[in-house]
Amino acid sequence: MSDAATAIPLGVSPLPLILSCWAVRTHDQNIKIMKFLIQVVLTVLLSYVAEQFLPWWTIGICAAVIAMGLTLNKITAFLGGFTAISLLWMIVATLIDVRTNAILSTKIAPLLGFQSSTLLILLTGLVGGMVGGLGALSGQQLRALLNQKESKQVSGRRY
Amino acid sequence: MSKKGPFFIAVLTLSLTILLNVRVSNFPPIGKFLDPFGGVWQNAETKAINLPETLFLSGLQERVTVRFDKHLIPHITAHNDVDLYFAQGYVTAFHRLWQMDFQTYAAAGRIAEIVGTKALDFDRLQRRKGNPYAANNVLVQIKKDNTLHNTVQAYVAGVNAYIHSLSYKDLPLEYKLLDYRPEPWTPLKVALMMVQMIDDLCGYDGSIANTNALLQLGKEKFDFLFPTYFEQTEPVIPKNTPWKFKPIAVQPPPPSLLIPQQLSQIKQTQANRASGSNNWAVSGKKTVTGTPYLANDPHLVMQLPSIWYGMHLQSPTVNVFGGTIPGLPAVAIGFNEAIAWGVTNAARNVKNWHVVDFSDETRQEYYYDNLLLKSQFVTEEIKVRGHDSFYDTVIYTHLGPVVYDAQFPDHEGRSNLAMKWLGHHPGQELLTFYLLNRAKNFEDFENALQHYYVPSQNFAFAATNNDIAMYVAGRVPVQWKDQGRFIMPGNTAAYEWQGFVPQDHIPKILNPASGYVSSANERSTDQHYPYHYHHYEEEHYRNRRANQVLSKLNAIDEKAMMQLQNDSYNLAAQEGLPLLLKHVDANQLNEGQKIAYQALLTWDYYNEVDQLAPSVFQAWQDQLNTKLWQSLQNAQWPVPTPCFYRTIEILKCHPSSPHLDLGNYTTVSDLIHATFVEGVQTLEAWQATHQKPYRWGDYRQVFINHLANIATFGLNNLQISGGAHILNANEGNKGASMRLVVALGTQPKGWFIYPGGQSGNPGSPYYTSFVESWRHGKYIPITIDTSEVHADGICTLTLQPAL
Repeated sequence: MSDAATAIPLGVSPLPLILSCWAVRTHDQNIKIMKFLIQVVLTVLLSYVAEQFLPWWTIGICAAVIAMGLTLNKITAFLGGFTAISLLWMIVATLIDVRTNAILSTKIAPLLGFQSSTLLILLTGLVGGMVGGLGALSGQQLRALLNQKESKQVSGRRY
Repeated sequence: MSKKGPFFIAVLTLSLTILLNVRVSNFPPIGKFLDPFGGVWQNAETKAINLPETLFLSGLQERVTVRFDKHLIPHITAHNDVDLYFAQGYVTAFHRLWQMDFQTYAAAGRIAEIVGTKALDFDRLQRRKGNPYAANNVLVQIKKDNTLHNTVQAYVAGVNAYIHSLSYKDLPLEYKLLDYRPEPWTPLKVALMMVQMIDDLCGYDGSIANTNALLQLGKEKFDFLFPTYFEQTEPVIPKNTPWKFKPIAVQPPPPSLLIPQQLSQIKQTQANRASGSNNWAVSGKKTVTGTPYLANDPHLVMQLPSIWYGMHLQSPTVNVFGGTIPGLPAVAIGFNEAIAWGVTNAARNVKNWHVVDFSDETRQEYYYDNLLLKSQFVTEEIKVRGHDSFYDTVIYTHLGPVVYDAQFPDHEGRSNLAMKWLGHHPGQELLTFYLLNRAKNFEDFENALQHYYVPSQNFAFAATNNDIAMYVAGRVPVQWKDQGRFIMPGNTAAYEWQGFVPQDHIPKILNPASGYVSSANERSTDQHYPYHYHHYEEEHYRNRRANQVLSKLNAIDEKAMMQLQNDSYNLAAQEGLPLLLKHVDANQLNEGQKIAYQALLTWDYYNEVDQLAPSVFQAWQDQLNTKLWQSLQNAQWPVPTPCFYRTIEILKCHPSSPHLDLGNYTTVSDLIHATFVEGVQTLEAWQATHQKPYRWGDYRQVFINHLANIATFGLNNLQISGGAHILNANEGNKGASMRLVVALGTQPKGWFIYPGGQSGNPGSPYYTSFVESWRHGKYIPITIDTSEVHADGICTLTLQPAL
């Protein structure tokens, strides 16, 4: 019944990660990191918008769409989708929890077998992350499948 | 690259998503549920109230203003009554939709639809008791009166306007947790809510256990243990009140009274000994203001969300504040500019059991005097979540539905017991409340009660003009003495009710010389009242304590009324303890027992949370009940045990009665001494387990469960003074479910509190916001002066007719 989700500072949280990776970068790594970050940021943005109007499971589709638009391998696709949705869900859940003094999470966590609100937030991240990760992986696979067909036609591999 | 890989991943993704979107075992659909944009996180409330300033609703005729005060109590102002009750429905649903909806499911015997097989037996009993039949009869009564029908329809439309505005994100928490959606409201649901209240307040009787007792103990012992009249009793209508009417004649009982040989293991639901309400009204002669005061604390089950919801309703025809029952229109207990009223349960027995004499195993026909009557078969479909529907056949006779038979509650192959219950034939109780909300004087009050049949209640009344009154309202069957105390034959008219006590003959009193009226679930009248009736439960202490204090009080103000509502004086201890202590041999006590003994000797009889003595007295009482009535508790067929009041009376007046079974003890003294020692041993064992002293506040548990028993949504270990048979009656989940004090006058004032909060959402700070004040005996002041209301609010919601 709250509209807590409206004021989320998108894209701010991954910054420390970027900075720490930057320090030990190589050129290839730079590209990988950039792609990963682009995947995460775009997935977060698209899912955030989608969740304002559409059912929760559209996060999987959002993650898939973004993964299809980028050239990724299986592992990075999954990790990117997972990171994006779990971050999004955990940040929103945490903001609500802090603003409401954990009034509800402390009552819900024990019902699901957890002792603390933090664990409930982590579970939230895990559940969202799994759908996001698998969604992204599905997108990457679909792209690979399409590319395979395409490359057969032009008889050559792109990578 | 293999083509199976992508396919496998797609299937995996899809299956996981689907799995997270459905209910698995008792867990909610975990993905949907944890989604922070729409799931459970959205039920954590950041603001006191989350509504736009203006809502456009179709069904409204004119603009309605809802001012929420700082306690979230809505003050509704409408230009006409239809809009008023529409808004009441809308606002109540806004705070309490799940609760009111769930209770109608419970009344209808539809809980298995939500939670599955574990509720099947509960649902079957609800259906077999004829609850759906009773609800249909309530509905027929509602439709008979235009005003009432319009009121109910407006309320239902308001509830539906709220339901239709809900997306998954806005659903009350319990719907998300139990994974179902609210269904549209109907007048039948209002009727079911009414049946829920009727069943809760007059759905008890002890016929089955009484029959066991009579058959096993014999009449002499039964009458000795369970007398129906006590000389020292102080009835609701004071003793020796003259009855100025000619009672209608009662046919005598059949010459050879037949008690069917119906021994049974069925354990009927019993009313809790700590349940009990108080109300009183004092005339202006006894108050500081010179105008009357009225106080009421009804003791329904304490639950979260609370059974009560505070509301102020205003239209050109009404200006009333009080406790409303979510699911029912109008105010149930409250005050307006001219009068105040409050109710306690009269606990009259209006439920009888008859053995139906079916002609054969098909049960199509049954014998009735020299007739053969046809029975009616009603198939009840009980939907069970995750399973096929369960079909139960309920057989209706002219007496009522056959509740217990060879199929229910187990397969014991017993005879067919039909239940004759006044609850199946209600009047227009909601109209009574509608009229009370608007009553201006005693005549209006009396007129409103004409429509009231069930559940029988003691209505306390006070008016600005200094009239005070007490009416034991509700229908009572005309019957012979002890009729319906035991299971009766169902094959003859001789055992049936002989009509009803006329409205003019009901027990009542107006402006007694004492300057006050009071009730606390005690007997209605003295033995001179010319009709026979009995109570399924009868209070002996709270009533007398209230009278003792009220008779002495003068210059009464609201403080005095509040103090009396929160009074923790243990009259049972004051009267019983000196007698019991005489039998304790202090020289034979060890250290721990001496401490307990000393605590009792120095006790002032107030049950306060920090004291040890109330715990000692309670543990001793429990042991005494166990030891003294051991033979009853060991009876092959379950029988009741005498109440504490009778126990003390027997020990005092008949210590050598042959009906006392002392077991291994030679004298009553030995037995009482032993029960003291064992009581203390119980306390010491408790102390060892809990690692804390047996303070009353800890030893006697008071808790408030969530309506669906969701563990973390309730409150435990509430430290509150009082106890069973004490004015501040509380024990387990029973207690003062609401407290209201009203000072009438040119501008009436109210003080109000209940163990809960206005919001029904466990994720709102207003879910339990009244509990601490309630526990400490504090109140919130209430005004129905609109200018004051508007100065002290947190937000205003305007409801506008949709364009």
